[in-house]
Amino acid sequence: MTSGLSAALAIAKKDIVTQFRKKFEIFSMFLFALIAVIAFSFAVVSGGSVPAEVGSALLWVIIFFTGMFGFAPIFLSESETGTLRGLATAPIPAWSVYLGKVFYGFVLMGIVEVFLVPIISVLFGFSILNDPLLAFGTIAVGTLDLAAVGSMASALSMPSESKSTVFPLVYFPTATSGLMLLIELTKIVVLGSGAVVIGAGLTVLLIFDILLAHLIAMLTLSASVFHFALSP
Amino acid sequence: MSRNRLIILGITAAISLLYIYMTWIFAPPDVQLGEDVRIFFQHVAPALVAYGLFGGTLLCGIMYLWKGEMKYDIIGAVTIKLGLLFTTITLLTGMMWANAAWHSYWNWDPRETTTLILWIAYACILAYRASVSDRESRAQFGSIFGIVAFPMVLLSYLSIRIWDTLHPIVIEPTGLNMEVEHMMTLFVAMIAMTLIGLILVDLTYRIDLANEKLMRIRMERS
Amino acid sequence: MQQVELFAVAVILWGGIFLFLAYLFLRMIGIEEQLRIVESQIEGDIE
Repeated sequence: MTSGLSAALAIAKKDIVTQFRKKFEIFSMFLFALIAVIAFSFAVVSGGSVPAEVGSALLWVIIFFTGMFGFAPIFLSESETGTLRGLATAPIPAWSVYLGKVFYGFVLMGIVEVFLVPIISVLFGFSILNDPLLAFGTIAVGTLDLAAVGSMASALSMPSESKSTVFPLVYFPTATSGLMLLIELTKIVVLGSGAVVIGAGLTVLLIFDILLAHLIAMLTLSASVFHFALSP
Repeated sequence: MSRNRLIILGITAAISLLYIYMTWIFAPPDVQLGEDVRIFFQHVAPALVAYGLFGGTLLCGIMYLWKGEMKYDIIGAVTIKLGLLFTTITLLTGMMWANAAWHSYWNWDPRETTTLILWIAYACILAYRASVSDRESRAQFGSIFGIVAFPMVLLSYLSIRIWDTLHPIVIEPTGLNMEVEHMMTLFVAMIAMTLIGLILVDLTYRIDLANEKLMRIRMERS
Repeated sequence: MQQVELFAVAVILWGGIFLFLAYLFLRMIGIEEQLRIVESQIEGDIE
């Protein structure tokens, strides 16, 4: 168990170091997110401002699309350079390869979000500091969730004929369930829990628990079937 | 056509006739909905059967990865296709009912949205499967995809509890929240739809199996 | 909704299901017949 975890951390560290050596990928992800902000602004800005609930939902929609850009190469680059064989035959459990990639995706997306979230909240005029703990938790869990789904989607799109076209097809069905919960939570953070109408008997904590359950289900499901993905 | 299949076909035909009779003649008009309540039985039964079929996709995925037999993968693909068919029926009858009850075909109600997402998600799996040409990896990766896409089904089922919605919550922990006649009709509708779904799965499975054998023979010859 | 409209819904739904069933049934008979012919041809080739 611990050796698997340290192997996962080693894989994540290797990827992050390689990523920092060629900085353009993080930078282009960030630029893509800004382009998405501008494109969405044409649709939602009315009278010089954006309604807070629309802005907070767009935050996650933009992160979702940026993730489509950032998570797709996680395994595709490995299979292009041929290092995937090495990973598959290395004497480490398959789930630690998956977990390492999830950590890497989390860090990659986290770096982008450090710059992106303040910019979006200023541009769209909403504040996530009403409830800093919940906001931070939501963003951390949400990014980890998207990274878990994105790494799995990237692994699944490897055997396909048209890899880059198929990646969104795999990413969308698995990520949307988490995305809806994330948007709901962020709305609660931005508007305050009184302003958002949620189903009877449901508290903020319960939605957060459902999100956590989704993350854990995604991680365990993917990790437990991952050795099938490495041995085609 | 074996004897057992004929018997099941006969039972299904009989229950379907009973279903039609109960839906259109036996069930009394609802207090609030009036005659529109008759769409309810065409709406709820296919929806639950669709959830069941997508659950079947999950089971077949697990079974394929466990046993590695190709028949589980073929059944899995069949359940996706038929699940899509039943979800389509659900969406269409739901739209009719929405128009009758809320005077608009589409309300972006959480249940409607999640069901539409469900439709798109499983259509994505079909498109993905078609894009993988190697048969073994299609089965393997398609099974994994069928497993990891399942949380969407749960979210669709739970959506009326998570979000505030126009959808009535019919199945409550204390029991079904409706009249006895409607309950009986819904029960018959469920059995009829499930049997029809099983017959469709059986037929489509046999077609796909024969198709696959034919393809393999042609590949070997050429 | 009017009774007529509801009746139309019923006819479309059940007509669709039965047409689809009939289509699948015919296709199954056709494709199994085809498979049988091809398989018997292969056996003929081997002999």
